Amino acid sequence: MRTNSYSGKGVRPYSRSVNEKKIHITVLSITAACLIIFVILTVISVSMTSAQTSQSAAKRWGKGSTVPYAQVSCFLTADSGLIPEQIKSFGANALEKIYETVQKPDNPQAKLFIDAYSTEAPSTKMESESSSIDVQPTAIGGYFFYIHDFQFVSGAQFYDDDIMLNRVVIDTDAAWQLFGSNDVVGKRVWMYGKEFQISGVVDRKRDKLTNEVYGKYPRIYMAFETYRNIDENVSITCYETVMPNPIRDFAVSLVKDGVGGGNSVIVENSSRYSVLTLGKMIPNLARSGITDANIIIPWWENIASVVQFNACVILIFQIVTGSVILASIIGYIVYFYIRMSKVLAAVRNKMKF
Amino acid sequence: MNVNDKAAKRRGWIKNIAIIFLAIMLVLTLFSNTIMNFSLPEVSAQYCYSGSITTNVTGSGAVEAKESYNVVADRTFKITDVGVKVGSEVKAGDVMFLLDDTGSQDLITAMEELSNLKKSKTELIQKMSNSEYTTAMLELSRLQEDLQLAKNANTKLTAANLTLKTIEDQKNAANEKITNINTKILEIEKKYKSSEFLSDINQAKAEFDTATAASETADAALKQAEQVLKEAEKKKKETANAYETFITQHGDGSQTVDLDQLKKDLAQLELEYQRLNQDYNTFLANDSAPVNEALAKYDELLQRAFLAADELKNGYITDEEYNQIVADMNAALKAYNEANQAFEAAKLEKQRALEDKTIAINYKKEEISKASTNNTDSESYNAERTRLKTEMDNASIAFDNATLAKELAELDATEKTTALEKATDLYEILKLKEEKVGLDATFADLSAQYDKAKSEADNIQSLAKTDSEIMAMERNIQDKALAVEALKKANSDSGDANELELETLEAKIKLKEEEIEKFKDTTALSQFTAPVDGIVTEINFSAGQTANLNDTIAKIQLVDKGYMVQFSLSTDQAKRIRVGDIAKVQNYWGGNVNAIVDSIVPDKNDPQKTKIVTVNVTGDVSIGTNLSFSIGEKSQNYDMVVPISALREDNNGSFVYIVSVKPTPLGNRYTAKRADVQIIAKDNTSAAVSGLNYGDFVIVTSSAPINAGTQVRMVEA
Repeated sequence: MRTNSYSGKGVRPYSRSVNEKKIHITVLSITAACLIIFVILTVISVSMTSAQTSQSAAKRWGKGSTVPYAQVSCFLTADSGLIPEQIKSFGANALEKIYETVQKPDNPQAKLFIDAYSTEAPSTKMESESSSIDVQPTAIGGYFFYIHDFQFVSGAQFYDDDIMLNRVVIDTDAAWQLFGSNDVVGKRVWMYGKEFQISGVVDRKRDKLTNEVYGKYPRIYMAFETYRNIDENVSITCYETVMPNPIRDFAVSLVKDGVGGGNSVIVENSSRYSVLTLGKMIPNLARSGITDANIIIPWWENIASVVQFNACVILIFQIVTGSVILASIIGYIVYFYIRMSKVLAAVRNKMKF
Repeated sequence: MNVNDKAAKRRGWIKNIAIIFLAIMLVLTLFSNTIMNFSLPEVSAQYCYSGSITTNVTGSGAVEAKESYNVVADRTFKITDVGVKVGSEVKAGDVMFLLDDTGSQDLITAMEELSNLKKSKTELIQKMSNSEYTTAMLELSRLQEDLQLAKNANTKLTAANLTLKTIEDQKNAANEKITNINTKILEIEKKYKSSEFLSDINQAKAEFDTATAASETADAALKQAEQVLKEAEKKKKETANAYETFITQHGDGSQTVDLDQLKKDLAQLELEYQRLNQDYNTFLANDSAPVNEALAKYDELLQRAFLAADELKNGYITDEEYNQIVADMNAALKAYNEANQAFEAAKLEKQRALEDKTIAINYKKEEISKASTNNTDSESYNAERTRLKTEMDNASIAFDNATLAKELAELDATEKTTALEKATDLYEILKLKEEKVGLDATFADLSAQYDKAKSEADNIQSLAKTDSEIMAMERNIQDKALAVEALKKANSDSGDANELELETLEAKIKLKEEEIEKFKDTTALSQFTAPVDGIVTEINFSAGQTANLNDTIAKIQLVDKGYMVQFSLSTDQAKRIRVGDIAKVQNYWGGNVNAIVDSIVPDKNDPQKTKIVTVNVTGDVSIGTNLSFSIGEKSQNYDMVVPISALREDNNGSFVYIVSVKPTPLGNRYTAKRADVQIIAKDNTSAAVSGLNYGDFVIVTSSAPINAGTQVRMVEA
């Protein structure tokens, strides 16, 4: 049996009662549990938000740049009247303002600023030589595929300056249903009574959340100009840009003034998962999903919003567990300070006698 | 269990754990490369290659006949059966629809109505008391009808003559075109032997395209050769000038100088200088002593003279003594001046001798330096002269080579231009012949139209009247009208109403008679036949439906007029193609099909942005077949081509990732390396770039995002 060398000899600064030990064990257990929960929540939050590649275009585009970049999205109503010509005009004006604060790149082909626009067309039939399916077309322009970081299973994207814009990018679901294969680049398909050629096949995520918002039909992407020949009154409902953000809200205010006027929702994608943004969201968390019903919110934004909501909830739990850990640390610092003061006082008393 | 057993057991455990640990470490070490590889992103890559970038315009549409015929219902009828379906080929007279007997019923009804109308007319005439007035009215009516007929015939004759004139103009224009084409054909035929001409226009077009590309390449090569020649000439002049300057400055190497002798001379001169210098120093040391002594003496006497002046003042010495002292002082000064002058003269002489020697030494040194450079025996002279000479010779050879290359390029360009002219002619002649066939057909068609119009005009001519005859008829009518008016006045008031009713009845009778005639022509058949030969492409009515007069019941495409496909292109796309371009059919393997762009016209709905392209199609096609065309294909070769999916971009511009290989004892390590590129051109699948080197292995796809410096794993083939 172990014996305590201090037992029965004067002051016993290090001796603890059974109750005190129990309290210590309980506090330390709770702190440890909170720490584990905090770490797990952090891992979940980081993995969940970093999987949203459509929100990280600024990080990709601005890699190696000395100027911070921001990604901003603007969602509009179906009757916004916004057309690519206005986007081009906005781009030119925005670039002028950017050059007032940021140096022009040395490489003449390098771009400081990119943008993309899109609108969701009504679902329609797509036919191959052997089968026919319903698809959900999205008319797109600009750097759409770059901003959304689509993973091409085969082929490549089409560009606005291509001679022939009768090319479409289809998802793996459409490729499977129409041809039973992903290796279908160059195959001919028909929509709206017109012939199109498949330019590439993109993969799609199949997690539960994506399945819920992706829509019931396979998705295909066609050039905005091509769709404008089919529906001449079509308006852009989603504008996205990646641009230098030398000062806070520079990009957001540019987009707001240039594109967002009227009924619109503007989101700074690049900072939406930051602790500051999520923290600001907490007081209005219950109302965070409310938007004007007329504003068209695309599927990727729905996913990003849900992830933002989840990250916000996780942040609340992180704050709670983090507070417990912090309180515990402060408590122990105070506790050890008091204990050490007592020990020192006892030692001083002993030395006097 | 005693303590030793426990210790032995514990040692056994430690041993086992150590063995297991070592085994795991060994396995991990051996398979570290494999394990690491599985954690790396897998990439597929391919070498950048020299290839072509092809741009073309595509379009597609359904084959249709150049002309179509709308089948219109010429009466109201009910369809009981449809004898054709969409796609059926019909000949004129073939039954298209079987009709109900509604038409006969219409005839009976119409005849009954006519009978009633005639009965009413007879009753009305009987009612009219003044028979003379009625007769006059009838006569007037007939005369007016005759006049109207004559006027109608005249109008028709004028129109027929106008038509004849128009057709004749068209004929003449077609004839003129044919003559021009014949002239052109003859001109081309004169140039070449008959065996050189081609029969297939596609082949001719292909050869024309090849010759165009070859000519463009040869022209580019010539320009390059000219540039090279220009540079070579410049280089030649520069090197010749450099050599010339060198020779001017350093001599041509023919003179030889004895460098050793010069060096000996220099040594001698330096020795002499040293001696002179020694003499000079000795002179300065020795010969300055008398001067210094004279100066000291003078100083002493000067002091004495000052003292003497005071002594004289105080009366210690006499004036004579003082004067003697002053005279001595002046004599000492004079002696000093003389000694000093002699010393300075000797010093100057020696200094000059030294200076002369220094100059002689420097000159000798310079002579040696020059001789060491200019002398043919000098290594540096030879090296420099040889270098400049070699450069000049090389530049001269390069110039000769460039001149030869330029001459060859000129010859090649001339040859290619001639070949292009020939290919153009051979292609042109086939196009002209094809055009001529069309024009011949047009001319024949116009001739037939002209004959038909002439015959019609002749028929009308017989009915037409001259102006004087018309005038006579009009006067006759006026007379008759006056007579009728007089009779009318004589008649009672009831005559007006009867006359009006009679006129109405006559009009109704006329209409009904026309209707009956039409029914008589058509009803008896109870069937509707095809009016023209062709393919039925549209049927708008089915059995059981009733077609009304002027309803379009079907559409027939006239296959004998040829086939075409129409599709729309944007204005930018349309700029890349021309009328006469061959359209390559991409999706038809049923037989031989040829297609040529026939027209490019603005779309009426959106004339600024859209053009309608019409492609004439010949060969084994049928109406409704969907054809896809590739038109205006233009290829250009580039040195560095990469797949378009390998291109990436960020705020620093476009780039690709290339695979960098580093051999290690455990195998090769592959790393992604960023290479900035400039995009020169691109098509649907590839992009021509600059900034890469031959043999660069470009990453096309990756299983995970990669950055510059990321270690990657190559996909297994």
